[in-house]
Amino acid sequence: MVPGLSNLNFFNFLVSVVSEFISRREIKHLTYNVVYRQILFTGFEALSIITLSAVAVGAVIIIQGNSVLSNFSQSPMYYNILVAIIPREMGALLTALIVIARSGTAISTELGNMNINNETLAIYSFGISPVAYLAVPRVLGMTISVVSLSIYFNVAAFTSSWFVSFLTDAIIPSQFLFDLFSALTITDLMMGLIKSGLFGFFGGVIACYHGFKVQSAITEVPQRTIKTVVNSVSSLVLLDILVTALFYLYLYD
Amino acid sequence: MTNIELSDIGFSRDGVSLFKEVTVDLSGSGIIAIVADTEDTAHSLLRMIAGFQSPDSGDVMFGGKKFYESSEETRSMIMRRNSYVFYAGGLVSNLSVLENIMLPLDFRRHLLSEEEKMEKIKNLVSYFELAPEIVNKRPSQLSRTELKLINFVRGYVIEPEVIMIESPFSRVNKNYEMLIENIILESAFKKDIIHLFSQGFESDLIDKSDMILAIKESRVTIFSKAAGTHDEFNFTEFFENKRV
Repeated sequence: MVPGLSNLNFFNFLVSVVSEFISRREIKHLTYNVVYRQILFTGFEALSIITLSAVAVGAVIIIQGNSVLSNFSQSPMYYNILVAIIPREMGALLTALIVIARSGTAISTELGNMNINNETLAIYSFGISPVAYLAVPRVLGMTISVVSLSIYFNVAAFTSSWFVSFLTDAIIPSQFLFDLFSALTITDLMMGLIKSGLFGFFGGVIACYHGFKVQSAITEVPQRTIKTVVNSVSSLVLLDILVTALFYLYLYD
Repeated sequence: MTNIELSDIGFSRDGVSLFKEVTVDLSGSGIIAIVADTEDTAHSLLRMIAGFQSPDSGDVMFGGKKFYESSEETRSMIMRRNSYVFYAGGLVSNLSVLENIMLPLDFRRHLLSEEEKMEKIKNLVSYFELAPEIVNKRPSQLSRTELKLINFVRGYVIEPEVIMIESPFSRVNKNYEMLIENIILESAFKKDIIHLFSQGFESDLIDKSDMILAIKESRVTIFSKAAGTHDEFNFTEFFENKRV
């Protein structure tokens, strides 16, 4: 076990990740590859499941909206609903949930197994901080991936909405983009980006924290993986409420 | 040569004292054997010297500095000068063998050119009688002997001042034991590298070492060539035939 690492509480671990990120100049050249691999695994390899989810969300909003709103002659409300659901909420939240299910668990399992096999200790024995070499690139990779995937999710969901609108004659296709951009504000996009950044960052930190908590028994690995999912999802929901509340309190009328 | 001193070290696990009041100056000794009737006890003291496990009392001194009371930066600077060979595992599983060997080299000797690094690795791999292609494999593709030998290669590649080895002959094919022993003896006496190894059974290397720290019932007895007590140590007699 790396001295001190398994005894850290979550807050101290969080501080350690941030301080190592700021002061990691010395090992920066060693971590490019780790960040790249993390983005490849967390971001690129998740594209298909994100596409599927985004297309489904975009399509469902139009199909459900069409059955309800047109009865009340409220078709222009489509755009408000699309903007409220996709960039403000689902883009970040659903992406982060998928990433936690795929990569959060993988990070926690990988680091847990590395602890058991003396791999973390080996890295420490070189004089390299395991937090700087193992946790910081993973958190960074996860944050970049969640933000990028959220943007991709938004684009895919809007495209899907447009396509379903076109198929169902719910709205005039040529008007779609114009009306959508009229409803969409910078604040909506900012809200989504801030949320996805926070979700990615905290999801990564929680996964690494639980991975490093594995001490010596292989049975600890699945236990820590379960804790990763439970703690990540709980913190995601709380952060979502917090950011949404702050935006509505200070930035929306 | 690095000065290493153990100052009044004591350590217990689960309420059982593994060793206490260990005070010894290891400076200037080429090969130091840490032996105990259980490997776990011997490895624990070695890991404490390596900086992996803080003692309950006392401290390990490197060049007069208390290791466990030092800042993270100071500890890191001390650890960079040393190497550690693990009993098992220790190779990062998601890196290739080459990347595993390169990692400490890139970190500690990043001023060397890529060609110089590759040359050093190639020479050491052949020195340990391993096939050159082994560097392209993943740790999971290696045999237990290969894993251990790559651990040695990674340990020596940075030209450490001190190399610490957990059970040098465990998990190694019998044919390689003599090779490992020869490499340790040569590196200790020709390259001036201090070798500390921990072991729970008898071996020729213990007889050839300069100092023996024998742990029995949490007490450490020191046998050294410098004090003329080295030849008094007999593994089987010392541990009262416990492991026969």
